[in-house]
Amino acid sequence: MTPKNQEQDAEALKLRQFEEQAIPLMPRLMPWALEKAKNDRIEAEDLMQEAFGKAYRYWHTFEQGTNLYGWLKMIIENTSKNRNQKEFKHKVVAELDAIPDWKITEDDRSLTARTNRSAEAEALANLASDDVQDALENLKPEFQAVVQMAIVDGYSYKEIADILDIKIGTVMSRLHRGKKYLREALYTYAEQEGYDVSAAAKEAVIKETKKGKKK
Amino acid sequence: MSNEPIDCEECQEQVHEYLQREVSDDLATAITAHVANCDHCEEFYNTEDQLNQVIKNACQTEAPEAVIAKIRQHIAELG
Repeated sequence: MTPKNQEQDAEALKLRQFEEQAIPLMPRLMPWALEKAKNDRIEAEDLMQEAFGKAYRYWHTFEQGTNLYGWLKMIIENTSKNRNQKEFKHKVVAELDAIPDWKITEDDRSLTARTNRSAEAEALANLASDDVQDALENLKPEFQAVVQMAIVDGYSYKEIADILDIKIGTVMSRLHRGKKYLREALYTYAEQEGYDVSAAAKEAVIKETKKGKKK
Repeated sequence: MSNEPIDCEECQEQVHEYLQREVSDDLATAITAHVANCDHCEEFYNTEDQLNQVIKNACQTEAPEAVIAKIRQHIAELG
């Protein structure tokens, strides 16, 4: 069997499990999503869609045989919280946009734009999404899950620890090591694309500067 | 102990927790103050922040569309 076939088989199995196990719990979870959405039916449906989409993406982290209802409920709750925060951020940005430019102070500006980028940050910013996805796929699944949950979905350490059933210390160490690996892998891609980041990449050591020193 | 200035080593050790909002308010204030006054740590912070952004952008891929469509259909059937 080719690796491509295996991949398709794994995806088909995942979808079957998801449909057999997660989807049937929807009727029991909907009232709860409605409560989270303050009885707004449309918001509740969007919330359910986003949460079940996430549940599918993280399906490989669900330990078969444990409490799926509780796991899904936790994902709905976290998704609801993130949706509310996003709404708040949109509101802030919209309000900032409505202020004439001359009234925006330097502090406000730093919320929406960051200018002074170093060569390393610049190189990272210009990498193709494919490179980043490649690097992520090369991470061990247990590291990948933590990195995605923390950085992409904004879960707290405690929430990740609960969902994956691991200790908070383990969450931290997987996040740190995962990001360290990604940084190094991405610098390698950046170098191949002609950015000179070698000095910065290899210098993962702490450097005391004059300003940073106490006394 | 709180409101004590921190050094580069402490600052960089906590950078992930700082970015994930997992530090106490006191420590966050100390880190912000340090980063504002230390070019090296500011650069370190910016790079980690940029790395997060790059990961976010690459991962915005949702569940496959066919799966989303199925989920939607099941939600609609809840009536």
